[in-house]
Amino acid sequence: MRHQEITIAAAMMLAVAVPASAQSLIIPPAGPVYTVDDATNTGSQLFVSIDVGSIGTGTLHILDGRLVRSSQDVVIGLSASGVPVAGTGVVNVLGNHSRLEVGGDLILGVNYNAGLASVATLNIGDGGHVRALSMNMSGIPSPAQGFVNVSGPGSLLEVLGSVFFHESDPNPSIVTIETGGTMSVGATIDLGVGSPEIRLEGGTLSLTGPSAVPPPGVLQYNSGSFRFRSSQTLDGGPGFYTDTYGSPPVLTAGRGLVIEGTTTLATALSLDGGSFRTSRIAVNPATGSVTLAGGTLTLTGEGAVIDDGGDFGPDPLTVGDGTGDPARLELRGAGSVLLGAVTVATDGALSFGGEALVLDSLDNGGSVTVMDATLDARAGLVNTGSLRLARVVVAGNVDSPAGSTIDVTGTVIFNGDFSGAGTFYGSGTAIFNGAFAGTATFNGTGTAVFNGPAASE
Amino acid sequence: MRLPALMHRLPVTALVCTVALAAYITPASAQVVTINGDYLVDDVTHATSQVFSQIVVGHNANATLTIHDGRLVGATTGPDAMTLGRALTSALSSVTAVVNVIGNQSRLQVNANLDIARNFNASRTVTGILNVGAGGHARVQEVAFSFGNFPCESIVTVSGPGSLFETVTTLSMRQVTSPSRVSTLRIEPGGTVSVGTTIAVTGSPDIILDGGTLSLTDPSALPVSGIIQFNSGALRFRSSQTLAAGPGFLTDFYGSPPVFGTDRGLVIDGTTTLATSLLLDGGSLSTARIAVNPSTGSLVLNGGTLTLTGEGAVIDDGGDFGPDPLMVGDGVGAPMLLELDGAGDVLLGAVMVAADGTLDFGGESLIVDSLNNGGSVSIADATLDVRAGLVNTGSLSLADVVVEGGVTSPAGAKIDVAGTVVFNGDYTGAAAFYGSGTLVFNGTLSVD
Repeated sequence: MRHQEITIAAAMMLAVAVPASAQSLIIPPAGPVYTVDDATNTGSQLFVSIDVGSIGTGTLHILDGRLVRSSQDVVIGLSASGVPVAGTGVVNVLGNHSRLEVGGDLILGVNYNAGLASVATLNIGDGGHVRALSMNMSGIPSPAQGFVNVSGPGSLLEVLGSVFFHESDPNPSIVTIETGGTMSVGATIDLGVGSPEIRLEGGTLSLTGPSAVPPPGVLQYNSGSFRFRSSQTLDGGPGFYTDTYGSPPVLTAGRGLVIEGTTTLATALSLDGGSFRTSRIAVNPATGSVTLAGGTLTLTGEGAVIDDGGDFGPDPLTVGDGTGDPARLELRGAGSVLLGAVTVATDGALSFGGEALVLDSLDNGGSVTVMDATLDARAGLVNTGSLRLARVVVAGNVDSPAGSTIDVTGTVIFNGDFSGAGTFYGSGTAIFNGAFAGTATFNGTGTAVFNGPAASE
Repeated sequence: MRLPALMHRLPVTALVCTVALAAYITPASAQVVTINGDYLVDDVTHATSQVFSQIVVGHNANATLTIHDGRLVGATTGPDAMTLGRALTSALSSVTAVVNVIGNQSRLQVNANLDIARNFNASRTVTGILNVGAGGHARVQEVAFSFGNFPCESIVTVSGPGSLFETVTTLSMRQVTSPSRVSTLRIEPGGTVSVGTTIAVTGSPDIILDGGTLSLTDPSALPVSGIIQFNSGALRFRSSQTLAAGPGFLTDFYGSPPVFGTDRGLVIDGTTTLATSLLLDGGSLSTARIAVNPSTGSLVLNGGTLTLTGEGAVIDDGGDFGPDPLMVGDGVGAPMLLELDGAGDVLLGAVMVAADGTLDFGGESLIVDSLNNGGSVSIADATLDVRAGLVNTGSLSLADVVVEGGVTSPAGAKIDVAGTVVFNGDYTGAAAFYGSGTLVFNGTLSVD
């Protein structure tokens, strides 16, 4: 905290905006609005400290991927003792790569004048980033009001340490995390006194674990995801998971959960329109299960990503249930991913981006997308839906009957036997090294090369 | 009941004969079994897992244990829960013992020590062979190669996609002369050997990296120089690492400055901090994200595969989110593949994909300043947000994608469409569209 510095700086009114220098930026007097964008600045803007809305109204815009860095604290909204001018500060960090880096505290709402308001607003949007060592919200020492909005894909508020809420009554300070936005807290959220609100409105709140989640009332969970940066066990007992998702837990539309590391399932987890992402799932064969009726299950690990000690997860693992609620299984492990039998229902989709997807069998009635990989369905692949292959080697036999489609991009090699009258699309080349008993009709400029027995007959 | 017909497969020593048969009759029991001759565990011969207290494969006699069809064979109790090849002074002949763990989900689980090739007979030799292949798994608490008193040889081969030989703690190998004790660990394409703690070596055993992956906690777990014959394949470190010039594994295996040539890879779980120039020239690097030291680090992608599994600013040099532009391929030599496998949003600056370059994205949103594609770009089930526009003169494959930003794709370029692809920005060009999908143009459409 720089309370003394702030008072001195405000009284002296000395600081001016001198980019890339070891100066403080105080707005005003640097101007009611200070903009850092491609039109006004060519380089990064480095300051010792930054005050926005310091005894007056001030706005700082950081746009066009520009970087503003403060080696010490950044204060938004400052009202000083003995100065009859309220502080109202707004900081907008908008656009991909636009960044505010705070080498100290990010302080929203400092009020040394109980007779005045002090209002601070921080908007992070469209891919903007704000990073701070810690964040203090409102009411130092008198009540003040702070607003933080994080929204849009890639937008991130990253607090490496803790977030502290202070006195904000009667008007609560509000943090809103909207769709695409993420708020990441490295340590804890200290609620102090008052009634702050953290509204999860489609974005992501990233925390160390469930113990760091603020209590209901402070946290208003409407939609979006929790992200925990540690392995977790879901057991159906009292606690965060039951409070949030029910017992047994069901992830419904608009609700998501991200668990970095391994998720151990000692209860029945159902995806019914929501999303669940984790590295791998260890299923307790006696008490755990995972059901993917709708929504998205993303597994980022490699090897046995669903491990129940036996058949590598549900046997078969069914993606979707055919009722029309889309279900998606995304396998993002960079190496080899092992699964047992997999069935993709008509409303299901499977997407793979690693090196080798090794399955006992694959029965696709929905859509399966594989890019730059080996697809090894040892007991065969049956495609009655849509199979999208980009530069893929398919080991094992494939049956793709009439009515099914295969999109081919680049060179796709079928090393097993191929049968069926499914229709090929795409600009790529399909090479059949096994026996061919299909029709291989390409709608487009794609080509087929037959190296197997059928080609010589 | 197949028991009578199968009894010949389980010749056992007189001492443990009854126990061993009981073990077969009652799988998952805690018994001791000795296997001489051939013993097969697959879907035909066994309906359930085969778990014993201790297993000896090849006691004073040749033996082969084969695990197929996703079946599990386990040994639970130490200190020597499993021995692969053993000759006592009473042995009448030399011993060759083989364990094959073959096929997806086929597993050998040893909860204590696995001893390979123990010879107590000066006039005999013992050879222990472990083959893990085609997606098989062998997981042991720890393993010792060739710690017999007299001539013995241990050969472990791991090969095929998904195949894994994993030690929870130490992998110990001995290779000395007089008497000869030989140890060879061969890691072939698709196979992975993961060591939980350290590799302990006595003498000069051979670890032959021949296309597979050797996974360690960090570079300090590597054995002394000369043990690993790095012909091809990858090292994997399960922790964030800094790559800097100077003595160490990077210089030993990749040169200084490091060049990842064909079939030479590195996997770093976590963040890779680049404090040196790194050139991919046919090899591979897989990591969560790359932090480039702007004064000492650089990244050049001429050929090979760079896989980034992280989210957000996956190449972060503190400024422009990596090289500006990030060049994928150089138009000559080996093809270059950039795989962005982060499951969420991935941010990059300007990206240029050369004619020999390929970019794959499988996350939720790929946000780039601009994308100039002269090679191949494949995106599935995602949003592609190209803020300053996308120029496609190569091959663009989109499956259920929303494209934000303007797109220019002139004649000669290709766009493959599967599912529904939505262009929310303006579209210009005469590229040929292919595929079974549906196109939606929400901006202006200008087809020359």
